[in-house]
Amino acid sequence: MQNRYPPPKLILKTRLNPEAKLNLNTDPAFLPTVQSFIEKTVLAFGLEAKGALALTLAGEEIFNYLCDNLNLGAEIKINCRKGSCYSAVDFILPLKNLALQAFNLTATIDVDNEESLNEMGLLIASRMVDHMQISHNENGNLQLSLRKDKEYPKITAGGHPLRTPAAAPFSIVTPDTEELKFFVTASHLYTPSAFLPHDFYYPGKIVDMVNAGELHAAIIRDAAGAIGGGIVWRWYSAKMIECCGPFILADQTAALTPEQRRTAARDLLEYCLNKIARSPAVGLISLTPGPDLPQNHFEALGTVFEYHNNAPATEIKALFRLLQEDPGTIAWAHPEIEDFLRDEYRRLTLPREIRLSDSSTGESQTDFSVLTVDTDSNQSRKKVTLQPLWAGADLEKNIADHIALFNREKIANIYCTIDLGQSWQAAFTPILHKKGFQPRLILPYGGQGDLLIFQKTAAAETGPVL
Amino acid sequence: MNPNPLPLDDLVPEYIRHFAAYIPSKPDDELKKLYGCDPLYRLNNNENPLGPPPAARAALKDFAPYKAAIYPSGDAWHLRRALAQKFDLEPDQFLVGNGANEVIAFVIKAFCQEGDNIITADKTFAVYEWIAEFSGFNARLVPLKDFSFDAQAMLEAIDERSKIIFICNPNNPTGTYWHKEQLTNFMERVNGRQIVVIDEAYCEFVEQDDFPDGMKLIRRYPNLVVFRTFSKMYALAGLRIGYLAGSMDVVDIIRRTCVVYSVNTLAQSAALKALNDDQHILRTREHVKAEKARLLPHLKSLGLEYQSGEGCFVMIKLPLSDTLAYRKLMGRGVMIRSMTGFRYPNWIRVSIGATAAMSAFAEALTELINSHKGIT
Repeated sequence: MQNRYPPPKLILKTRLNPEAKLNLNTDPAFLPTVQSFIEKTVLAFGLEAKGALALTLAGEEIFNYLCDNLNLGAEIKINCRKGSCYSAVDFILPLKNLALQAFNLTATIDVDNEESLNEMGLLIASRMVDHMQISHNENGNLQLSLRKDKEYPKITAGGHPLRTPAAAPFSIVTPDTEELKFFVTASHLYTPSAFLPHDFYYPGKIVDMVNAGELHAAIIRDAAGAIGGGIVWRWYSAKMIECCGPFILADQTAALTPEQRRTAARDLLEYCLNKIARSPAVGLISLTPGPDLPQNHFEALGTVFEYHNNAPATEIKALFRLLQEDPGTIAWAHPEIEDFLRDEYRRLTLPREIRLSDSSTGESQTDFSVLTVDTDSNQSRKKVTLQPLWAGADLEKNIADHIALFNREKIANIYCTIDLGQSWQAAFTPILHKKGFQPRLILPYGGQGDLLIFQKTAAAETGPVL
Repeated sequence: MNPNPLPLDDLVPEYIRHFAAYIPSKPDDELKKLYGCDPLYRLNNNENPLGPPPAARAALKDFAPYKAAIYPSGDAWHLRRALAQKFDLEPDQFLVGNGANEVIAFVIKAFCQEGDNIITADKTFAVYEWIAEFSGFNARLVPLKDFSFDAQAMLEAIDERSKIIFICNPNNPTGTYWHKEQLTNFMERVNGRQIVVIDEAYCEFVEQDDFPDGMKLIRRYPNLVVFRTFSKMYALAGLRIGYLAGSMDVVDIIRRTCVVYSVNTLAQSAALKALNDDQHILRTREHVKAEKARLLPHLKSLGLEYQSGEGCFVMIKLPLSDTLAYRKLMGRGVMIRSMTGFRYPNWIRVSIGATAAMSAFAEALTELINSHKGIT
């Protein structure tokens, strides 16, 4: 039988990060095509068989769901991308909105409810992959992205101090693969784990990220070739770069004088700054500034508290600096947060026009909200960050369900970020307040506009978390 | 769905996709609103606070509106003749552009093709690097040595695909310069294999006897191209007019990439009148000298390291982020240049402005440093 629609159009590209695209219509007859396309492509990208199968099954579920919920024959695009340490599948849809509440981490299926069963596929897909994202792409179309990470062996922190610590003077270089792994592994010896990025437990992943250009690294090396420390940096948002480090590989009594240590750290940071100075980035942030970070290059954004099992909470000061002269921007705010924002913007000397969002005008909204959850599973600071993807009438319940889930998982550090550049997110503020969240800090240009980071206070609403 | 979405991924070259557009500062009225300051002293663009020379002012005042309806001389005919007379060269050895930035683009377009590179310093005027990068050519950046262009390292950076070497003399932002012997030694060692551009945007500010006049070296080195501008000393920045000079053969090549009619009539008229006003140069030099003599001891008293060479600007190292300093000083109505973009994090560059502006800067900087000491 002849197909009712044009045959799927396949485009293959070979780049640093290769991708393959499939254009087709929402017709169940194309399901084997979709399955085969995703599986063969991500296997070709190097994803292991187990991960490829999971991503393929997730893709199948999404396609089935779209066939059931979009008009028959709607044109969609499927894009498989290879990242440094993952493979991803994007579904680009010809619409602005879709009931995607099953993407919430807290979603459950009611087997007696047909409408709920319809979303089973989405729920299954969401549980099969490591990351999901729903966004609007540059053409205003809805994009569902599924990502499966490559697996890497984890190193155990510890080991023996370096036999021959590096001695000044140093030169700053881009490390080769073995030097990079050495620096990452040795960092655990000299820097408390709270200051190290979680990925530092996976040196192979760091190498892959650097090779793919998703992470950048520099190390200091002495004349004998000994490595004295390093710094890594990567894009945090479209406008902001995050640095981790500098981490100096020496204890406080080692060969380096305090002045040499400060100089080495400053040189590493300035090397990073000079590399990104003429990039599209407008700023550099350090969300877990370690003991060696030269603080006079930064501005204090604010403090968050990290709650620990059986230990007092610790304060983490987030730092940032702009790379350019601030051109000013708009911050959309709910009236409840206006005073906080004005005070913070005044303290930070950031020129902002605060526009109040009015939620009392009675327009209709979708029934369901969607939140994404970013998880940092570092055992010393187990934490989650909620981000709004979709506003909806059930927002308060949705947030409450997420909090309850985190409480059951004994996750004490719960954050929520609001993008002040997106007016619709202002509506989250009163609900977050009600649920025990407090605004902690503003991250300039952390999203489309500035990000406002809320943290759930430990003892609010549901009683002590731990 | 848009039936024909723009296939930007396919249309846009890779080197453009990853290039960040330069966002110029907002106009003064917007900045005053944004930062809540009035007045606003602009000390960020190295403009001449004395304004254009008197004859140029008169030319601007006398400009008849009907001339706005008529195309300008497409190749700045009269101005090129005046330049030729002043520098003892031929008119066809000059090309006039819409600011010196435009002539940078002319040269790169004329000599570079896919796979070629240009060589310049890492901490210098950014436009050489930008134009090369967004044209798809690699900019090889050689680190400065003691705030100066490192001749040896630049020579070592040359390979078979190196087409142009850009030297900013005196260098913006450090104010250092190559003296005659350094420049001629460098030219000898390049030995005509590459085009060497000497950007002399600030040369009229230099009083040192050993400072080389690029115009006088063109006959000896046919691969030498000299850039000059009317934006700095002659205070015609708002009209956008600059020029290049070189050997007849080289300029003949560059002319092929030159956009004619890009320089407006007003700019050509004012530049023509400004060109021979040596008194204006002397007055400006005196002003810069006097203000630097007031500023530098003040910086010293604040315990600040600075770099002050030739030119109408001074670089200052701060004990805090330069971009924070920019915002704090803007709040006090003083606009300086933060230097992270020049790859000098925590440095600022202040232009030598009018006396009142320099006093406002000194006061605001003092307050900034004292309040910072109070915090730390």
